[in-house]
Amino acid sequence: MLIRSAISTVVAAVISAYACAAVAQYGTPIDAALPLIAIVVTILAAITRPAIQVAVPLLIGGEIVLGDERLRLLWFGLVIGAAFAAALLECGGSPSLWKACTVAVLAVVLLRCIPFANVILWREALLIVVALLIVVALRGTAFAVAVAVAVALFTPLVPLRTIGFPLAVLLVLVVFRAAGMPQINAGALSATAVAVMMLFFAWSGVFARALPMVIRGLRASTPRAPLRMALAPGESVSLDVPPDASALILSGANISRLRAGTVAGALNNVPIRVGDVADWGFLRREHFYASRNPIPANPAGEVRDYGQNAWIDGAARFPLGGERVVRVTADPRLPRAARLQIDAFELVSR
Amino acid sequence: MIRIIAAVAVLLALPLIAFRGRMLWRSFALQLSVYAVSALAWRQVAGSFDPYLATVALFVTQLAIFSFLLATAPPDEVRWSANRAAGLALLVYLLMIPAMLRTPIDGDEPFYLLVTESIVHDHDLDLRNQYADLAHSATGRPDLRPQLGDPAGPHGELYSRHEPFLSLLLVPGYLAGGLPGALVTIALFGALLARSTVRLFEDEGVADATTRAVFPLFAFAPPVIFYAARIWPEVPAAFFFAEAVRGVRARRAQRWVPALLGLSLLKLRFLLVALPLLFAALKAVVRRQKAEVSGRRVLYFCLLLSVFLLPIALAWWATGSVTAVHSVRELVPVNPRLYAIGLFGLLVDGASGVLFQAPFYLLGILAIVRWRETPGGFRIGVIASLLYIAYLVPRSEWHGGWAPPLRYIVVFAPVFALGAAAVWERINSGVIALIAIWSAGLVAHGAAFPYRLFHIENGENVAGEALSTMYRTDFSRLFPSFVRLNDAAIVAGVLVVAAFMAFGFDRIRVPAAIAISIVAVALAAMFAIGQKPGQVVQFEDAHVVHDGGELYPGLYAVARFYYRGGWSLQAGDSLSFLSRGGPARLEYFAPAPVLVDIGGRAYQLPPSGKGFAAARIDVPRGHVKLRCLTGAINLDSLSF
Repeated sequence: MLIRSAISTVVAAVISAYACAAVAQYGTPIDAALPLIAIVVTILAAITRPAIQVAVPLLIGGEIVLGDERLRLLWFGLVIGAAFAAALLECGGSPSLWKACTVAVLAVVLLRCIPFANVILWREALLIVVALLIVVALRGTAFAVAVAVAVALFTPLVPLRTIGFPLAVLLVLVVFRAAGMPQINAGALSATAVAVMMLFFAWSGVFARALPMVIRGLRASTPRAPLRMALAPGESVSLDVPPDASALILSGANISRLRAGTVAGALNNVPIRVGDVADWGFLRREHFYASRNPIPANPAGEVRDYGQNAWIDGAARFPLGGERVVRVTADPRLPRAARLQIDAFELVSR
Repeated sequence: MIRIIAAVAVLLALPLIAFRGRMLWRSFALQLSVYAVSALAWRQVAGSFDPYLATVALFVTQLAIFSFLLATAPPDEVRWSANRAAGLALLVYLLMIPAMLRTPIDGDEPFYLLVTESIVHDHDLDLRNQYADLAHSATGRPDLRPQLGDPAGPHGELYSRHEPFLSLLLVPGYLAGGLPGALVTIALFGALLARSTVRLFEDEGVADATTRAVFPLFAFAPPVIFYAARIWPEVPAAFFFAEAVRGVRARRAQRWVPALLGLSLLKLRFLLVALPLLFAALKAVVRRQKAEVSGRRVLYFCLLLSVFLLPIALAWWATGSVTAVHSVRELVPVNPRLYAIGLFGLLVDGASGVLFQAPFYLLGILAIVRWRETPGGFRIGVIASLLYIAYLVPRSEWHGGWAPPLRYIVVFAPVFALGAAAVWERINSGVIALIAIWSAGLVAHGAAFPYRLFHIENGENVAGEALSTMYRTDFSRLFPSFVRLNDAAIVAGVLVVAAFMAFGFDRIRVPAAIAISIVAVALAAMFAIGQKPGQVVQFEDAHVVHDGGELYPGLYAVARFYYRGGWSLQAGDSLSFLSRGGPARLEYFAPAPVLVDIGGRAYQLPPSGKGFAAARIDVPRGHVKLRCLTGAINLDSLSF
């Protein structure tokens, strides 16, 4: 019986992966990873409820019908989130340990291993082991899966010492368990939490490092008139404002170590501080840990890259009030390598 | 905003009616979660997605989750009875009414309402003054004209071709609330239908768990959910039919006599359904009453006679003909090919077949091959439907004409749902999942775009048209069409026969995951094939890019499927399409010589005479432009 079930799972996985590969028509790594996603869904269905496999035709339908990238990837997230939530709910909130471990590993794989090119295998393997230990420490409940997946998601693993975060969580849980912590199921809540994390699997890096921006809603691209200027400390420039400009887009370069409130420059003699503006790449996976910048108050950054590598540039939006000329000054007290970048004028959408 | 609040309230009320204990709280928690996740998702795409469609999709998702919980809940956490089922259905149907009223009522609906208005205001059935004052009609259709074949009275009276009983039933609702009141009346019949169907299941010994699993696919899925919020006689007829079957099975004349009378009064053609049931009832009466006094037997025969004669008398009184707008000749058998087309069309046609528009009922039809395992109610219902279906399928409008899909067989919904329930345990869970997802999609689509429920029968369907428009290749040819018979129809016909045989033999057991994966790979194959040029180009189809010219015949031409031709071009007009290249046969109509340019080559086409003509031409490969240089031409098709 077990062998028959395994064979049918393998056959279903191969057929589903093939079908997904055949329809993948867009260039993003997420679209290219559809076969892998199909295999993940098949395993998920095999260990919980076979009907969850219906996610595969839904993914294929999205690939065929939804041309808009944001919409399509979000649809994939919805489908996969629903599949994982259904899998956890199917287990009645307290899946068996091996099922819980499998669901956790599958979720972590989707959240962290697409695109595969940027994956450092041994680090990810180490993280998965810690995640599994968390699942075991919490007795393999749906809540355990949600905690393990969340810990894996929010760990950048660059630099390696950030592995300390999941280890610390594990340690605390082990201590709590030793102290007689009761078993927590919270099936519906845990399923929802996992669904929300999986909803953004296509931009899991953004979800992990810029959660407030995700909650507020990721900005869609706006029409812009690019300026691409970088002011060294003390430099100043006056700009003629185009008639259809609604805002000026500014960001910093090499200012990721500056704390919130540090003056970075001025716009028409009004000070611009870190917090109003941020380093352009401070949300990149490799810079995030060392950065001290907060997310800009009025962010204008666009979503870049996919999966755990996804990030939003630190550009900030400064609304214009009908001025014909604006003067931008970089603060002379900025570090020598730092720059205040004038990215673009944001134009009124037509 | 009021509609949204109403929808949220209804969705909160559903678990209160159906669940208790942990399931109740779980249901609320899930609802809350879905709202939260949806809000988060919406923030990411706001502005780039239709908010109305998104809202409808959200509520349909909530309904689907409720249905799933209803189907899977432990028995001790469910409050389940026929009355509760009716309550659930009524709430959902009331919610559907404003969704359906997003666009004016259409098809036969305004005419039924017009008759109601005539009964209320003039106390007659003459619609002359209604047509003369459409601005004050609740139909919201100032463009109404008498329908083709409407009977006229001896003094110039103008009657509707439709039986007046439904209009009469709508009177109280109309008096209470105009058009919405009339629709609420239908929704009430929908709730009664839900109740009767659940009672039918109980009578026939279907387990509660199975009833709960089947119920949402019956009550909250097409076609019932749409017809329960629109003015058609089908839902009241389905209610009367379910009651009649229950009455005949239980040998309760108090039930089946009024039910059959109501059924026959709604539509004269339903007499074909009533007659076999009358026969069955009569047989039962004769058997049972053998030992009883003959006086009661006489009474029964009088009742039987009244069921048969009253609708005919009413038809004669209303239209001057005992067959109303029908003719006895319609019952005479015709070309067998027409039966095959109609029957397979009803099953698998892309625009109006059960497979695409209400796949759940295919399970009920499949149950026929397991005849001996099915309950008596199903068997008697199927037998009762045979005469009607045999009458219906060879008719050119087997697909239902200008109406939401499956209009003619809505009346049998309770019986086919019973059939589905009878074989439920045998159905692959993967197939059930696919049916559930597809049905939810149909409900969302129909509720968000009620006008799309009315699809011109032209050989395409909504999905095919959407994909063809998106990719500019002919995807419609991949959906079976029995209006414009295509290869996909033949394949689908063979597959459906194979499915019936496989289900009958019960030897093939496919794991659910593989069944779903096969559908996935079929979708992928359709996508790959759909992007390639087809063998036939129908010039009116959605994949053809039209630059000038016009559709022939016009979109709303009555019985459009009778006509040939597709797109008319005048000098200067053009169209383009994806061509597979090579010699091809162009079918056209041109009253005079016409000069066309096809892919850079000019062809002088001779006049076609009275009918259509064919010309051999060479067509280049790829996207080809066809321009009319001089004259005028009606293009039908291009076959490679």
